[in-house]
Amino acid sequence: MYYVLKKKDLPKFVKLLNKDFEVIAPVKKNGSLIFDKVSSADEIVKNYINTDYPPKNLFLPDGETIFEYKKSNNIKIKHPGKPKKRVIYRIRPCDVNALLKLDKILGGGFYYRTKRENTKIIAINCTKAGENCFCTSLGDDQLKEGFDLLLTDVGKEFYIKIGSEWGKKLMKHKIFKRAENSFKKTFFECKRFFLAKDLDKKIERNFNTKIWEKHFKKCFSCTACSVVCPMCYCFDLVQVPKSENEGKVKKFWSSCLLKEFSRVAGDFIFRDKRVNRVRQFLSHKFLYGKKHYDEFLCVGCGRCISHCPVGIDYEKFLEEIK
Amino acid sequence: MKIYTPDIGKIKKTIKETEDTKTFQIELENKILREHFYFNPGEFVLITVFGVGEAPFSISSSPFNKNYFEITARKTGNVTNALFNLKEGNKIGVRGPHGKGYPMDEFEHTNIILISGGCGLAPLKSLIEYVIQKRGYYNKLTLLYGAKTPQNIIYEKEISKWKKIKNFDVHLTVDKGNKKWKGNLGVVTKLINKVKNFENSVVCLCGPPVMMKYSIPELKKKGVEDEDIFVSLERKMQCGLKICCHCNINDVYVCKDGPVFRYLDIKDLSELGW
Repeated sequence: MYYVLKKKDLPKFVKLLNKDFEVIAPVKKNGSLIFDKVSSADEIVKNYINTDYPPKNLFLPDGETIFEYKKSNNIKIKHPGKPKKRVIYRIRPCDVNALLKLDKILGGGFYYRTKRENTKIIAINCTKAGENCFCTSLGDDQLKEGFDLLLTDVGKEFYIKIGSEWGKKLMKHKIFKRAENSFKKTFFECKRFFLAKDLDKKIERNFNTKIWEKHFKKCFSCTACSVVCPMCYCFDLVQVPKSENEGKVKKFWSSCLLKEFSRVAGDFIFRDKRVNRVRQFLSHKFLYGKKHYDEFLCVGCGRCISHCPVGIDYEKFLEEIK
Repeated sequence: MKIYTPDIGKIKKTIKETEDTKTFQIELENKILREHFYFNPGEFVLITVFGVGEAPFSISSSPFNKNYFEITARKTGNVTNALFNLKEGNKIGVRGPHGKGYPMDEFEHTNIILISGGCGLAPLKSLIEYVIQKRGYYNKLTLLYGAKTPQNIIYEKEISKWKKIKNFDVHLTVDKGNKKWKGNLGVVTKLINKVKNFENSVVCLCGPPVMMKYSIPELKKKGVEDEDIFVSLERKMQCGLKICCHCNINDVYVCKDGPVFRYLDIKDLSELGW
């Protein structure tokens, strides 16, 4: 079911959302385009391909408190409360697909799940691809589910597809009109392309070859690609004491690209070579992800390429691997 | 589920094994959890020392013991150092039991040969006590155990008890002896020749990678099949639930698929390292 919203009515739309929800949308902060709280439509950046950072911090905040403890004769444990009701407005299909894939992996955990349940998704289709985008290779440019509303920019207005009961109810407001019987859809094309079929088998075949050395010798384990990846979710549980008898246990982002990541007692490190850690990074996404969750743990947002300080291009690697 | 929140346990008793190794008897506070603490020998728990950190330990006591469980820790890092400073009555966090242990049902009516070095005896002690309690179900039990010096031998009291049990052969060796030591000298691999019969047998190995590396070819020479060899592996297990990705070896996750593996299933993993 499609509805139409005139662009001039956008401020009213954001106001409507703000009544019951914390509205989170793309904003410019410290020179980066990120997802953050907004109170009105004019704070929102509208002309962009994608945000510099994915919205994963909204669901997996870096340094999130898992529990607080207090020691006396006994140990008292306190958990943080449920998150606020919020809506993410203007999230791209690749980032929604990343959340759908993360659901399969993290959906059993209380903290991730409650944040997902308390967050409405108003996604917006892309009309243009960025130079590093490769979502079309992985099929993550399309959204079949995972949204409450899906917007498509068609010039002066948005076509809105309904994806949930909440979305359907919202469309009863007078700023929305039912769409005509037929209307034009917009398409876009990524310049980059590889065949995703059998990517897992290709990685497996090349696991013990020199190909990793060839492509990733330059990597110096800065983990920028991990930080900006909407699907990198690996973490450390860390005790953060406040005093001798109380403190918190927090969950911090970590990355398999770090040497520390595999270190055990006795200072033994299982992936000592940097190239082997890049191999782990990509194998997790394209080989183990496929095996364990039947998904490639990548949505082709291309942020890893944009943010690499030494110009490593994972997509080129995926094109070349045979 | 709040999957990273530990249950609270009390240190009931500490037993000094060696200069740097202690056994901790831990009792879960919650009665229901305590009574339903089911595990197979070889499984592990994650122990939290509040304010310091969490680390994985093999359970070293028998699964039939419902009142408490034991872990044996050697002082090697932050968590174990802090654990050593705790006293009887102190509280710690417990998550688990996690992982996959030894297939005890499959071992029924076979001879079990155990090869271990250093602290690697901990999970095998759980297995030994299990077998002793269900003695009729298992055939001959053989333990080959190596330590650096006689002072580094753990579970001395238990070992002297085991030596008296019928159909249970115990062979010890140390790398470096002392005046009192009259037993075997050399690495544990040498003890493999003491075992006369490898037929209808399974072999469980737990110890440093180098011990596995040199023991397995010896066992193969004796005609032991890959599917009858079980190894316990160590990686940086953190969440214990196959999520955090710290402990994988290729596509195998030590925390969930192991830590006990059939050698046949892991021998071709290129990240195994031995």
